[in-house]
Amino acid sequence: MTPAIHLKNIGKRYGNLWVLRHADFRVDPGTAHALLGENGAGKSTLIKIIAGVHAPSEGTIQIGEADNVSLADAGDAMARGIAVVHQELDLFDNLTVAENIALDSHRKGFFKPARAQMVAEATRVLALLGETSLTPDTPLGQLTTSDKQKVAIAKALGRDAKLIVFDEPTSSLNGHDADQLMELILQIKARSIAIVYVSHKMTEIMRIADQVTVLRDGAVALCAPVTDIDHTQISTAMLGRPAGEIFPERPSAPTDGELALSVKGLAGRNVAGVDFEARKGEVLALAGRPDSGSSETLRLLFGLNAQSAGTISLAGAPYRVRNSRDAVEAGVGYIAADRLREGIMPLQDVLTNVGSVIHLHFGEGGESLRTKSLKAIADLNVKARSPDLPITALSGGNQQKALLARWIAAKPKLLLLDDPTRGVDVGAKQEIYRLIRKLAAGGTTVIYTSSETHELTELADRILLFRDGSIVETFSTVDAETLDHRIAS
Amino acid sequence: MSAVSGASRPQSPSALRKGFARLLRSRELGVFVPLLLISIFFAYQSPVFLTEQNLLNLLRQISLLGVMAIGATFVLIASEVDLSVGSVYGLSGIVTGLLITSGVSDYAALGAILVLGFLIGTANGLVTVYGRIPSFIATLGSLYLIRGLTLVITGGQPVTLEFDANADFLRYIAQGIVFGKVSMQVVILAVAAIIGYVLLHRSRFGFEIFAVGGNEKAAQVIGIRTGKVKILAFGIASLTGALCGAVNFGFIESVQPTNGQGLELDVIAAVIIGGTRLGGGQGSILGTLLGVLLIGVLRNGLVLLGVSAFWQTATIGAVVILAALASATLNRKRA
Repeated sequence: MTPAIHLKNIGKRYGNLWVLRHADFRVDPGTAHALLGENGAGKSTLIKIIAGVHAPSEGTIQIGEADNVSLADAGDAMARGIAVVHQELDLFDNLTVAENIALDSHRKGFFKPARAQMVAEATRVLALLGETSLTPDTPLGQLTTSDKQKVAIAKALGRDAKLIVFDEPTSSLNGHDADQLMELILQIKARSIAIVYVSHKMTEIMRIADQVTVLRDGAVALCAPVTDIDHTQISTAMLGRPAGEIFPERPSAPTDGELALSVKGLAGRNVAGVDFEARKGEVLALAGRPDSGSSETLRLLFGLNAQSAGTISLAGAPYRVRNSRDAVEAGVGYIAADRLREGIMPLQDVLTNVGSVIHLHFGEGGESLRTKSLKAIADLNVKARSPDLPITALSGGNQQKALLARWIAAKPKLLLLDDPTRGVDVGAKQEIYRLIRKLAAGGTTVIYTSSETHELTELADRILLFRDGSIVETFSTVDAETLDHRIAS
Repeated sequence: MSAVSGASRPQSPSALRKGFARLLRSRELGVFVPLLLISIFFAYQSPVFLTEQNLLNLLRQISLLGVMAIGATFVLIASEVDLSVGSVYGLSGIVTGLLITSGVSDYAALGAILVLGFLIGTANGLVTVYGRIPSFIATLGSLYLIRGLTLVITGGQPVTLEFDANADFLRYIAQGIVFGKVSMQVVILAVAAIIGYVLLHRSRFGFEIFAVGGNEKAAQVIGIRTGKVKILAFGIASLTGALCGAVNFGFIESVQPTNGQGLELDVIAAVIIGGTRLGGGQGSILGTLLGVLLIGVLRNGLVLLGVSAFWQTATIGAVVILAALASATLNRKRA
């Protein structure tokens, strides 16, 4: 069969650093090829080469019958039938659905298309998806993420895309919408369109993909039909060793330890009555889809979201939390998933970032503040050429370690971590896992969420599964495959 | 965008209903209703307000503000701001006068000043886009720079159009009357509005301005040259400033080098009252025209009622705040 696209021996180099090398990647019409890999494995480089954003440093590209194609830019790739549905959806909230579909930088002429013409075109391409409930005249900003995604897909189909790349399309969808999207992708596949599916959600990959490629350190670590492989093989290929070896030893869970946290009937935005307890030194994972209430529970506990009902007690004492100040002063720490917007202070240096909590809330200052901050930086192995550099000069992993250092310096009783390894390389991940375990051994209770199933199953003492704002199941031991299914169902 | 709906003729009752629903949802309604109410109020309070003479006079008074507001609409929708337009207006009047005084024909002087205006705008755009600094800062700088140069050129002295100067064309477009009663300035506004409407709402360039102002990164990803779009928008805004400065010179025939100080704020106020979002991505020529009209009606009506100029200024300030609050509330309801 003629491939929709075939990257042959593709490499990409920045200066002397190869971020991708000797990679072979082929997708046939009517099939879906799943692409996996840790951060920095070369996934996004590969996609950008397919999308025409980056030119490869070596290797050749075949698109359909045409071999040795060089893509000039994203527009050129689009013209050759390649469309990318990005995670952040390159759409315009201020324009209508019809205008979003019509907007195209490669259109010629002075005038923009007439409204009636745009509406007709939008109706046509939305119908290709079997989508009739979206009105072309609606401003896009009024749509849900899931509907926006449909508009992006419709736009691609309307351009006669031969290959559609989906970049983590379900990362911000709830269970129902993710399910719908899967159906839609299967439909698209049935039209002989080739799919590249970037995701690390095994259930999704097993459901829609025909072929799986795993990248690691810029090279193909695994390429096989989906029917020939299982979860363990994929995660081993991604990590370079069995998942078990990445995670630290779990001491026997403290089942009879002192009660650190007791939550009864907790409710707020996206959280509808949650009860659970956590012991001193326990590591608790909150699993669930985005919007299931797991992240929001952490925000409630830290006073960032308003609590509409429930009682909480911390170390035996009632814990009333109206804002984050109450939380910090009661000995609770929190790291948000969005490191850039809710974590670091981007204009400040590493030292100031690390020292901020003990300075602002615990009155540390002068030499003592500096000493304690430097100690936390050293303890967490934050790699910075100087603590006086702006924190943005550090890698994602080191920024995250600096944020952890900020809280460690304050010696919290309870540490809440929302997806703490997001955008962090494997080495830093491993350090973060060890640190969580070390904190727990020292008596801190750690509650975290993660978008990677292995981090839930391999690190936590207990896993609470969230769905629609409440806890539906609790696991002490569970394998990743089962948990994945339970999260998705 | 609803301006589009107003222009297309509904074919069936359901199309009519849809068109009407779009009209009700439109941002222009947010300025049209207050405009109507205030006009009714003035009509009751003053017998002069609704006279043909007064309305034509009112239109003439807002014409140049309107032309500059149309230019500024492009910049504001592209999510930028041009603070230098008042200085460009001042410079333009002075340079036009000096050129004509030195014997250059008024046609050539006008042509030169329009080119100069466009180039100044382009420079604002280049500094903003390639210097990667906020246009607020870039154009704040050119506000002072251009005003200072204007003072340097004139030595602080006013420039006057000599009685016998050969400037018939300039005098005609500034002072001329068509149809026996309509000022040429109103005609200039009408032409600017039509050109502005076509450019902003019907052309590919206008489409790209909305895209750039709505989501610049996404616009880049789909291959829109966002820098070029913005630079052109700045060029248009400055061009209107230069045109109006020249026409104003032709109208009053003598200008101070300080002429037009603070005008940029009137311009921005009119555009914002007209429903254009300061953050970019939303707005229309129709809305801007209504915003300009609202300011004109307020000034005119308050004068008729004998309200002091000081209170007029305060009233316009209050209207700006109310307009911004109204549009913010509307947006929240829609979300």
